[in-house]
Amino acid sequence: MTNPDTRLINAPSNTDARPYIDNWNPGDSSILMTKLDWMLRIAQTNSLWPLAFGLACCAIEMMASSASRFDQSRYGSEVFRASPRQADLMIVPGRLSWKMAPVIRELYEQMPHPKWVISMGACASCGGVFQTYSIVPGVDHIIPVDLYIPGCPPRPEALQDGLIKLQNKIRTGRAMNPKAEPSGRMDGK
Amino acid sequence: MSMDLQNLTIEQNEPGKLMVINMGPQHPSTHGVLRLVLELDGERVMNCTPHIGYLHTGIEKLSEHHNYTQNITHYCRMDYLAPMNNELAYCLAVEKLIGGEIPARASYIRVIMHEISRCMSHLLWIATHALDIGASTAFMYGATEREKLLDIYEFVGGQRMMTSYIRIGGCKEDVPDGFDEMVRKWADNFGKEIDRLHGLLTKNPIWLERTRGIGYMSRERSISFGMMGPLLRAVGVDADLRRDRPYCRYEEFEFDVPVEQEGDVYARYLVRMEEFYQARRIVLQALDKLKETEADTHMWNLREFTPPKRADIYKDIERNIHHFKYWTEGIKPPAGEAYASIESGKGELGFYVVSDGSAKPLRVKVRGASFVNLAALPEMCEGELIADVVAVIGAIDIVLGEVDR
Amino acid sequence: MAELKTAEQLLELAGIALGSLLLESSTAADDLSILVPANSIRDVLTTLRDADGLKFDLMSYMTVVDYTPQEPRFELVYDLYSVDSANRIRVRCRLADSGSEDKLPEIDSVSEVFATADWHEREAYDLFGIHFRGHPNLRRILLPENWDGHPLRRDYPYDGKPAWKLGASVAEPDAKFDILDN
Repeated sequence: MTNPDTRLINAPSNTDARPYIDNWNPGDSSILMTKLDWMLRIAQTNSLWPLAFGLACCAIEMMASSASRFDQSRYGSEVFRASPRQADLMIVPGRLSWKMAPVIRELYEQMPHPKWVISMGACASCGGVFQTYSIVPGVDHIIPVDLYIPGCPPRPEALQDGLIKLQNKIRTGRAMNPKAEPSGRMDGK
Repeated sequence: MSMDLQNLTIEQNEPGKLMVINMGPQHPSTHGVLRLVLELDGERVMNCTPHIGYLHTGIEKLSEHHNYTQNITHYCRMDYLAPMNNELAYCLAVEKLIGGEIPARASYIRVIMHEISRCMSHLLWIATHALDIGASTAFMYGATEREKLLDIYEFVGGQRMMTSYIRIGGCKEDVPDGFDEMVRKWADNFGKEIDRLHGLLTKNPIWLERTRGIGYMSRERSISFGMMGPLLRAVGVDADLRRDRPYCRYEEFEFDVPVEQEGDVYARYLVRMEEFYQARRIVLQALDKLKETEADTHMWNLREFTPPKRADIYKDIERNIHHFKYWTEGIKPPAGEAYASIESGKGELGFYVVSDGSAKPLRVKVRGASFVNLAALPEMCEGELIADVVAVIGAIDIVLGEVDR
Repeated sequence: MAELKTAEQLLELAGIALGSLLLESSTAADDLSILVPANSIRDVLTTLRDADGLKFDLMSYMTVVDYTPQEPRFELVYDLYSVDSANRIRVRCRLADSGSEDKLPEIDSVSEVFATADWHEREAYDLFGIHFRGHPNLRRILLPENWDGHPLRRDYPYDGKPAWKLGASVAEPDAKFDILDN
């Protein structure tokens, strides 16, 4: 863990009464000095709570990735919350119709900051094979997306790979500004 | 209920005194994007209005703009819990339009994959249905078993779910070596795994309390609502398309059709649980029959409607041109109309295909089992407690991709 | 269980039950398909449901086919199934287009004869713009209430691009949770 934001300082030893600032001994330390921001990012990275929200086929693979074989709790994000108020990661699994679009926008807005969005599968990313009158050609018309996962549907491994990539983005601070505006606007202007 | 309470209920029944609750489209127990508007009198559901279409994809419209072979790709994404069922029903309809005989081997492969799809669909049903009611252990067991079936899918079709393996005239490829052992290995354990699910739920007092006498439908209303499959068999109607109108040589197989009389959620549960055992029985019979057939007869011998083998393309110009025309222009079934239906895990899944003699269908209508069954939800829910609505939805076993198409 | 009949046997029985209402018939691909006049569709389906020897008590599906540019434009298809004998019959009737969006082509609703026709007719209204007289609750089922046009008509573009600009057909935020819209 060689982050420039952190610096390790040793703890006062029991036998030594001198102030610990004089007793500089790297490698035998138990105090972590860091920026609060970095600490928060570490916490956010390792406890992503996804919204329990399924649209189509990809939702089944999302369920499979949280079930027995592909145990998603290894990455700290198996707690699927049914309420958007308790979630900070929205996985959009499947094709999004224009009828559903306002609902998903409202769900996104109900999620507290900071929040991230994974567009799972070809349909959510660009409409996929369904270039029809009723399907939104990419969920990024409605909400901002941090990460796109290709596949139709993506395997659970692909979803977990995407999850780890998103975690890296969050940890290093490269994730999208949580207050970003979506690229599309609902009023069509 | 005392007299006072009864009077209170009647007073609250006046218009405007009902509480309206919106359930969905984002709700973990509506199995997708179903939205229900419930009017409640206390805990009782007085009125239930389903709103669907939140996953409307326009698959029927898209079918008119892609050719017959390309269309298979769309249909596995409809009932995504059992993708090969959709492919099978569509291919049967187009084959009926063309009129040709399917070789025995192709039919047996189809039967195996059809029954495996039924098990996949039912396993996800029992997993989520139990999870909705509160038994989360069954979810993990169901998911574990389903993974084994997805492995078979991947082994045969190359992908976990959307394989497009069943093609017009047969199957894309012959089954790979080792298929027989793989399926048998699964079938050996499958009975025990279902016994375990039975042990978890069937006599569980909480399960019985939550499912018995809930969501009742009468025989007459079920038929009027056009229900088929497990829902109809749970009200005492002995109907099964595999036996009554055999397709894919189902007349050669021995299996029982489970029928229950009660017409409630528990009866539907028992019917589906028995179908696991019957599906396993059919798969084992089909594996035996598969051994007796000749290898590489997985496609019919109608040259015009069959893609040439890869190795043959380079041998002569005729087949090269045929390969080119098959994959760019597509096949041209004769003008006419045909309807073929199969007994999918959820009920009757049918395709009505109208051809005008060109390479693209004039119209494809999908008779989705979930769409028809879901229409009866208001009648099943009325008078039930609000907590039982999720049990009733689970027992109908809807998949919104098929409802909204 | 009664015996599975061939299409020819069924046609004979249906001919006796329906009489002059049976206009055309076809038994291609072992499917019996009959054409009846559109204005008597409710009588025909009631007869087929109740007649002895037929008993088509379950309606599998109901749909519409748009045969543009043929006239009459629409063909309505009702597929009936008999639970007891596993026989199947396809009833078709033809309906001309009215030519304007304000007045849709009309036909009697059969939702009283078969409960499943309720949703199927709503779907046909939504996607094809057929008006069903006497339907208890005829409104759009799959598309939002404020959608323009009927997408499964042949003249509607499949990708819908001329029909919506980005977001043009998304329901207003206030309208989408309007719980009184039923």
